[in-house]
Amino acid sequence: MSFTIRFIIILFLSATVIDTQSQNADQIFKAAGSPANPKVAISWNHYNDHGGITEICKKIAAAYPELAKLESIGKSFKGREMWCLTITDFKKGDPEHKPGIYIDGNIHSNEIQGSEFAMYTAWYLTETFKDTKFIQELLADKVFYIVPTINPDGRDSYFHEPNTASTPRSGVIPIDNDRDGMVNEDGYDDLDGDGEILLMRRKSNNGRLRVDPADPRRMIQVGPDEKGTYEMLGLEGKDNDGDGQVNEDGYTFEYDPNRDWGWGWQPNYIQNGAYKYPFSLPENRNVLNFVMKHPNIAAAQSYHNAGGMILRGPGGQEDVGTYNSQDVQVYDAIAKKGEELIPGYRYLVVHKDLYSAYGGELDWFYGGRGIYTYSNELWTPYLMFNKDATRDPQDNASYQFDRFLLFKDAFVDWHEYNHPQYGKIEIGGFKKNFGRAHPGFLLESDAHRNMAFTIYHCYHTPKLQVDTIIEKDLGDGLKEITAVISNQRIMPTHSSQDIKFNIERPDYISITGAKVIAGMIVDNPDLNIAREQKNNPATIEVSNIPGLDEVTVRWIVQGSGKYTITVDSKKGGLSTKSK
Amino acid sequence: MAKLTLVNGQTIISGQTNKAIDTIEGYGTKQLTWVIKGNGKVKLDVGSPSTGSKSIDISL
Repeated sequence: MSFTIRFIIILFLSATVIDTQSQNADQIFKAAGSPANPKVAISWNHYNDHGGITEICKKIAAAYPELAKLESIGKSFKGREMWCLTITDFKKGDPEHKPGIYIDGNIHSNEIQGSEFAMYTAWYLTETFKDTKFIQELLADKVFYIVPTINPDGRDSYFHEPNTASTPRSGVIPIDNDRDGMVNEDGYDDLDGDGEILLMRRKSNNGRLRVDPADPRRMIQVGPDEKGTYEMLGLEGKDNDGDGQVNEDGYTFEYDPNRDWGWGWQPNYIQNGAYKYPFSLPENRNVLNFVMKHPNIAAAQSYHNAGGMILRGPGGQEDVGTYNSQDVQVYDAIAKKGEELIPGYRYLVVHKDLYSAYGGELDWFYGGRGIYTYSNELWTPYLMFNKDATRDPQDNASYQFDRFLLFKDAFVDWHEYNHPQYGKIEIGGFKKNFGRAHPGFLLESDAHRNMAFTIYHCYHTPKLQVDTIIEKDLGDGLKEITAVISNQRIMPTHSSQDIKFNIERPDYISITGAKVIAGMIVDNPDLNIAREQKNNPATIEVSNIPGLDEVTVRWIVQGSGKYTITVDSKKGGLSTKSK
Repeated sequence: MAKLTLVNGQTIISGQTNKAIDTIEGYGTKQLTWVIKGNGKVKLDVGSPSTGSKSIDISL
């Protein structure tokens, strides 16, 4: 009898195991552009906390050791590792000599989906490598440095503490916001204990709002000749410290990590949100150290939310001249392609289209390091019905979308609560996972489109080639060797900002295996106008190799025999040709 | 204007025989280079209407 029971149990367990396995490879028909049967199975319709990110990054690195390596670029304030996946074809070339793109997300704690978008990029590149020639060529030439979250403490607090869609924006280093000698003593309060910070409303004979008869969840403003029935009391909370203020000193807005970077930095009394001094936040300093150790980074992408924007600097009006016309041409060419690839997203400039902000990440990457950098503001209400909409509470598109596509999962219905200071109130509103974060079913699609933009951006980092080598016999054992070095992509090896501030060393074009008598840069091959380099003529120093253009160099050498010409550029990579 | 005169089969590999110089600052200098194949001397004349001219022989 006991044997039979054991047998049945074993049989039952094995049946359960079989039921939970995914389909076999031969049961799957590949959808174009997606990995059909990925080694690392991930569903891209939810968000992951730092533990989840750690696990996904480790799985990708373990599944594809020849394409992905995982390292920590340092620890956060609370000691969480800041993971970086390096994605390239490690079998082809030295990654540090390949032009690179740096991608991060989640600098603001509540702006979460950048981490998923960044990880999707790492996952997609590794999983499609086998079948996709374009990705193989891309990873032979380029390297991706992907840091899914540069604010892991804030990320976890957003997920695991009661919050709104907009909080916390900052990291979690404690600050006394109201300067009363106490720290974080009066933040939001999850009064009804549902894990959400919602809105508070109260019935009022003189209120200026009423319930929308078409959707009782929605409050609408009454006209000048009407009487309302409700007043709004702000976000869920109470006066915890008896100072007559509600929610005035919580952990949710201590400082702004995106006002901490060392370009155009201003103190807090000028730039609200600045912390102590440039790079005074440990997370940003880790990024600084990483970028300084990787001078091959030519492009960068920082993911924020929300609004559907592809942003470039400058952040401040004073820096308008910093972004000169040659660099703006590069920015425009790549971002206008981005507008095509990501419907609903617009290419904008921070200081004039958004607001002035000093000490931002994208300004440091470009201003301080000469790296072409965008910040994408992910998620736009346009994606709800594929037409223009806003996040304005008076726009009922969000209510319609929640009702008919999310089946009211994003909204907590108004319910009564007895408030210690306000008396009988009602609490309700949209949950924190709606309004700024993508709903699940749109997450993968927009991740893919934004990834495609970063791939285009990375593709257009410089690609150098020793193109043609022309020899001319000068008699008496002398030979003139002229080499044309081309850059086959949009980006120059040095942005104009880089050249202006001597950020990176020049590109070296060198000849080995020949006795060099003279070396020169040829400005005009047709009219034979050249500039001789007196010192070390075997290695010609070129200040820049422009995008979609070429430079010509020339050596006068003695003797014959084989020689090799090499172009070595920090942001443009290596290329050689022998003759 | 800087004018280089070559003789006896000397040939110029890099540089121009006639090179206009936009300006030379007070107490300033301008450096020009030529790569020439050959032997002997070349003659370099440099001058402008407001400075007069100077001529030197350069041994190769």
